[in-house]
Amino acid sequence: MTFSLDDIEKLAPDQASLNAASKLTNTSKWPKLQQSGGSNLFWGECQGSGSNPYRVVVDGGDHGYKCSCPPRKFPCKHSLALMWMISSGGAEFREAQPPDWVTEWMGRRRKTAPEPDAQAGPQPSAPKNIATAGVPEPASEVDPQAAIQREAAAAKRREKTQAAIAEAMDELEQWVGDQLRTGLNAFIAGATERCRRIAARMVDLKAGALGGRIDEVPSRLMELEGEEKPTAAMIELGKLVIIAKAWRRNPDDPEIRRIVASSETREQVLTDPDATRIRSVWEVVGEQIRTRPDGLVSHSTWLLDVGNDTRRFALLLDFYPASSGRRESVFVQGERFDAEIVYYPAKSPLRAVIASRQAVAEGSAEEWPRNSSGDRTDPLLAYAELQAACPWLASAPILLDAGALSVDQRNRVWWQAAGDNMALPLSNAVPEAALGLELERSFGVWNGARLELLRAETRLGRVSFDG
Amino acid sequence: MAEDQASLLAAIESRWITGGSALEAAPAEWTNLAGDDPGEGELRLLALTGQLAQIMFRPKPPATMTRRGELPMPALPILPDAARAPFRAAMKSAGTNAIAGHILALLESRGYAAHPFDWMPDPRNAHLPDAYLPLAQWVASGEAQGAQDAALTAENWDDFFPAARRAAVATMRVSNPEAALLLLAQKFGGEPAEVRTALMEVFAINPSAADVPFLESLATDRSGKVQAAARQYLARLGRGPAEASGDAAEFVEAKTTGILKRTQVFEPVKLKTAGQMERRKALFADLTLEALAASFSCDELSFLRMWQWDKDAECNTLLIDLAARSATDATIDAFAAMLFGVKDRDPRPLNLLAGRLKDADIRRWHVFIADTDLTMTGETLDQGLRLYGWMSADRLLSGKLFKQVLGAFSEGDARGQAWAVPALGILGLLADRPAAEAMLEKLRDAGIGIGARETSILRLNSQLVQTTNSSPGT
Repeated sequence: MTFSLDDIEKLAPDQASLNAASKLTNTSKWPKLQQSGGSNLFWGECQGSGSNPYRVVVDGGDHGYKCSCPPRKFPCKHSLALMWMISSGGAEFREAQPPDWVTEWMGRRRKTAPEPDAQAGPQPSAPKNIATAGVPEPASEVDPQAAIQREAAAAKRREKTQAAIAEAMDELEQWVGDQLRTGLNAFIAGATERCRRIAARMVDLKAGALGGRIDEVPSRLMELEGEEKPTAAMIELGKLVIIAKAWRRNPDDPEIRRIVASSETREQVLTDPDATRIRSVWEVVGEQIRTRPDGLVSHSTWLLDVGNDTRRFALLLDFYPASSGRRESVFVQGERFDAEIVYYPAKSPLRAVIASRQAVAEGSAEEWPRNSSGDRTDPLLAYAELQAACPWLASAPILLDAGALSVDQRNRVWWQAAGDNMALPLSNAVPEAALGLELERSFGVWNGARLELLRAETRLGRVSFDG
Repeated sequence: MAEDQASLLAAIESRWITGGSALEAAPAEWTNLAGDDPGEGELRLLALTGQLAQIMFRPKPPATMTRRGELPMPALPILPDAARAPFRAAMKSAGTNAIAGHILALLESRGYAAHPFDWMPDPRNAHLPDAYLPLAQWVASGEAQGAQDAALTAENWDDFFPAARRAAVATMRVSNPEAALLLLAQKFGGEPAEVRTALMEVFAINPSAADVPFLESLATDRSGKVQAAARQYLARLGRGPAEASGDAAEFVEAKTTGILKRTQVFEPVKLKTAGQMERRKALFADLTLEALAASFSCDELSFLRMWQWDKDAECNTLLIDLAARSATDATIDAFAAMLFGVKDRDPRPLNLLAGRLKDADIRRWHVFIADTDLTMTGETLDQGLRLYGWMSADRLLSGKLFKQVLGAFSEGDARGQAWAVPALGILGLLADRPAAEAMLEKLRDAGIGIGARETSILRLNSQLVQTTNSSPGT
């Protein structure tokens, strides 16, 4: 059993899903399509609206399916599209061993051989027809008057949003001033409550992204030792002032707007003619998945340009609701691919999306670039330069040259540079074995006070510290 | 950070810590940026000082930091990347330390050691595979260059952790048994009972008449377990006590059966209370088979042949365990042949003997397992596994055990599946690589997901390509 068009029609929750799936049956949207003939499994990676592609697997044996997209409908359009491509035979699925994420999915499920109808859930009231899916709706006549009205309404909305955000920035600065007047000690003691309140105001006043950032301040302070907290609080509050002033100076700056209000869509970034585009070989060097106080999960995938000696990084960043369940990693740590990366506009571009991607030859292992060169021996110099260009950044990726891990008397782990001229405390736990390895080069995310060590080159090969 | 800037930041920060204005603490060129509005000036000063602190801040490492010694590599190649995920899954699903030990032994049989990021040895484990002893030394002391790099001597005895010491003595039992005995005579008595008991295991290696004086000297050891072990090793060497077993014999009854041909048999006395059972167990633990047989004026093998095996399963287990601990090698060989000759018998008794069986008999026993009934398997079957990853697909797939495992999964038999899970683990440890792949395929056809927890050992097995420096089935 694999998939017939009838099966797909029955499985689809509604006609809209079929329509959406039909648009995804273009193989250009699938950088990876593979199958394991022995087990009737097909899987692939579909570039959706997020920065990270979605992982999709379907089982031709019992019509099971799984996709890493935020589940809204079951099966989602990505699963349906994959089934459709199998059914049509138009796409080439390369024979391969199932990767770990497919194996793990198979391990978690029990085949109960459900009938397609049963798995699809309650029958929708609207009829479905796969034959008409994807057929464009007849173009409605353009009403020039309505278009003008829509544009005017949009302009008015923009104006209202700008006014709300301006009010948010005023309130924010007022609030920061209050924290200084009442003292940093009092702010630290009541940070959770205080930040929650102002974060909620930011959300009310259309500055949702900034609200999310403020909501995370207490947890960042909690990670630190008591004596470090006042300085950290000063830095956090200072950055909020910088953001407010930067927004007032240029509310249309896309980078600041992203920090304060909302991000561009993937499509907007891809179609931006001024966006920085880098085609190179990229290595997946780390992943951070965090549940934020506002109920969103932030999923960061760090890529390092190993095709050029530029110490260039790219951050694929997605958000999804924690209630949608745990999302699997999209990439395997250490995976390399040849890709064109398109950066979101920024003074020092970091956040990006993948425009196109293809596999590189197995076994290719370009070296990581060195962090220091010539008189650039300070491992935090690149971080300082990034801060100078983008003072609103809370954390940034850093490459570290040779070092090792040491433990202090309180059992805290530090990355220590070879030669002992610099030590950075870690925020994350590391496997015990890592304490006995020379780290020839390391990658981590430095937030000004703690290093989250994510990956390192060692004599055991490149090892990951993020599980 | 430059001292003057650090002082400046500290002065400004101290004003804000308790609340108030910090403008007075700031240099004039900074406050000039603030303009006339004190509120605005405070915010600008905050932005400046915060950013200065962010860029210039360097964490101050504590005065004392410890760097561990260099991590030694296991004595075998590290597991390839493709096998690491199934290894982690297999170790996670291993219900007992014993199963985890078998998984490591399977790796070793194919010539691999676990990646140190996936598994690290516990130096308190006296039964660590030798390949991990350098790592265990590192975990125990934080140093790779441990004493075990040198030969074990009375002088450096205390520098070895228990697993390394046991391994060193075990090696000496083969290479230089006289030196091993001399060392034990000097250091054995100074160890705690637990360590002495574990050390007694080395007498199973290369036993000889030279061990007799030392073993006899342990008759007065402070530990009853050590005394019993010494008696049992002496018995294996044919130096068991001539006298009868005393109280233990009260739990065995000699009878005569048959009408035309009168035959003597031995059977367990029927017990009525748990207390009696406990006493029997304690007495048997402190006994040798030779002494028990002597109570009835016969030799070890005759006693076993005349034993009535259909009377009391628990007493059978005690007796087989007694044989495993104390019977001579000749008796064990004959006893194993006797057990192999009985069809449809619960294989578990052989399991207890596995530690004494020759490799050829171990293989026969494994074949026996592969053809045993699923209901007779259980976690205990793994106890005697000693050879790993050697059995071929035609044997395993045609065996009763795998067929019943498949049946339990494909029929959704919950009770059968409870038995099938540990059985699959055993099969995964026994199978050679093609057999593991073939079983996985059959299981997939039966509806078991390729990543199912139950198949983790099979999946690991299927990823372990034999290295050139390993010998299969060991």
